[in-house]
Amino acid sequence: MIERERRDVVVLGGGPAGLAAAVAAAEAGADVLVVEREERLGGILKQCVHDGFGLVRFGEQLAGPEYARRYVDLAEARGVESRLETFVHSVRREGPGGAAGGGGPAGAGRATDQGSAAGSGGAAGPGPLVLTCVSQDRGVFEIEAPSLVLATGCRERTDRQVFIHGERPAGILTAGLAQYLVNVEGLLPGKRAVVLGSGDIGLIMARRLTLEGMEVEGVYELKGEPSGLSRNVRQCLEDFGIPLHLSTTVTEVHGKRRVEAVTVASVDARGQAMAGTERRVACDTLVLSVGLIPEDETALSLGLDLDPSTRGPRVDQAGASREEGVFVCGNALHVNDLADYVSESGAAAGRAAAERALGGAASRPERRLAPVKAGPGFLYAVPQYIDLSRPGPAVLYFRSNATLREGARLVARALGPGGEETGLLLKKSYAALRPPEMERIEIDVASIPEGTASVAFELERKESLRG
Amino acid sequence: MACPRGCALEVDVAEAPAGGREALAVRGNACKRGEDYGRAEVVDPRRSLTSTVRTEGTRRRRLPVRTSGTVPLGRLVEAARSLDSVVARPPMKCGQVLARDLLGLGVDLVATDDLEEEGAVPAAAAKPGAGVAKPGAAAAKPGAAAVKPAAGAQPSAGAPRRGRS
Repeated sequence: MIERERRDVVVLGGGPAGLAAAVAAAEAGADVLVVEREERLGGILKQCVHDGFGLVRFGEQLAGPEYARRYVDLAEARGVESRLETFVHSVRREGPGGAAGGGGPAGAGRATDQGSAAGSGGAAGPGPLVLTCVSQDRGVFEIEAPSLVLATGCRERTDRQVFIHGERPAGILTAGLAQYLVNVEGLLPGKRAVVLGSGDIGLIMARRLTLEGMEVEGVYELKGEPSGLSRNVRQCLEDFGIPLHLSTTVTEVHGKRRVEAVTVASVDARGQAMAGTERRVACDTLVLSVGLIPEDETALSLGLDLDPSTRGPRVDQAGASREEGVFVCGNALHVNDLADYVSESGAAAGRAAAERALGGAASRPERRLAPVKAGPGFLYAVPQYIDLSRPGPAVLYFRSNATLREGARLVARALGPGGEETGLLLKKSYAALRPPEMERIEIDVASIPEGTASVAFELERKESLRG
Repeated sequence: MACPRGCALEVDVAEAPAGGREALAVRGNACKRGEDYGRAEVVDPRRSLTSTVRTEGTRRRRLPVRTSGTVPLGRLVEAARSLDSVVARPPMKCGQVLARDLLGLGVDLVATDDLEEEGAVPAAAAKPGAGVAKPGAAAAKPGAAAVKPAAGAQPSAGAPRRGRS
């Protein structure tokens, strides 16, 4: 017989999203357990020794581990428990009677646009979620909970996901791995590095490696503008005289056992390397900062539908997915640029997860999900639904799909079933919008008129405003 | 640049009578913090230093640290190099000072994380080159859990090891 424990809320992942979710759920009175596969809580923040965290959440600049420590202390004070070095093997939904639900998620737990009965273990509602876990000290065991918060963070794209010719010798590593080696293990990966990609971790690692005594030959970015925050371009590259080569990429890696050099080339408007622009750069290390993708294995195993633009599950403003009792937050939902926002979405998910677990079917009205439709000009908008039955402010995040230096205006409208406008929800002007810099807005659900079927976001460029 | 908003600033600069530069006006900032940053950036750019230091007496290899204030940008690399001689020994609390008045720059070096004694292992194992810690090795050290580990999560000698049954 496999040992089983029961909780109100189980949080998968002990990083900034999971800890915030756990703290919020515990504050709402739930019995919360955090499951973390590493030996310490804090997630990726443990290795983010640079500062700049917490300005939004705590009003001061903190280093990553300090920010994590604040949440660990909060969690401890609220009585949150954790299981460390514990892996979740699988998640399934049990039938209402306690029988295993056929391995996959039960259809009964799926919400529809019209809403469905929200239940928590009652005869009519979907059964509880059961996690099968493995740890060295307990072996295989199960955790049962009516609410599950997925706070599994994101993964780095690797050399397998970018098109580079040539050899695959030692010395090719992702920026996050380089960060782990330097900041946690105290090991320098090489002597002379080339960084491909100008994402924030790549920029931060260019500075870290330089401060630790490596030579960073340059940062190469395929796109015509940096992918990272402006402050990181300034403080990580310009401060140290590290050149940033825009519209340039690494096309080939040379070296048999260890990286000896890479070939870089300029690219045209379509991102294709141009013949005759190749240049060989000697280096022993190639650091890749070529993007992050939400970690969605568990979400997929639960049958959650993914938004192709965020690569994360579709959720409402509380992180509630279409699967009853399954909440998603932080970088598992979409890749954020600030830990503060990761925690904010974690807290929203944790509160809602606790409410569902404690209140049961009776306290929750039927969900009324209005899809959020982001028009042209958006890279994405999150959440993908606003649950009109959930009162209070809904926080939404969005990114533009291109740099709008001249500025832009965001207009949010409520639409009826036929697409007719039922109300103007928000107008907000921005001096400039850049895809790397995520924007945050709030919409009061109470301000959304009755009869609204969807919410439309439009982005008006400043040029067109004048004309 | 003092915050993630990243306003594009324009600063009017003049040669100061006493030598050096003087900032006359800052534009494009969204807040006072931006104005201060803009002024400082042309007159005397300063940065906080964040890094890690070596540890002894614990299984963790590095402790993250930062300076208590900013140092002149021109001396940042020198300040980073000076950390090579600093060693952290547990127990240590986040915010605790490891070194006072770094290089005479008027800033202290402070820990940005706790360093728990519970994670301690014989000093020999903490030496560089001792190899990357195996995940299994940590299972015997329940103190590694910062948040109270759940009942039963702590291995004890008498507890039955449950596997598939």
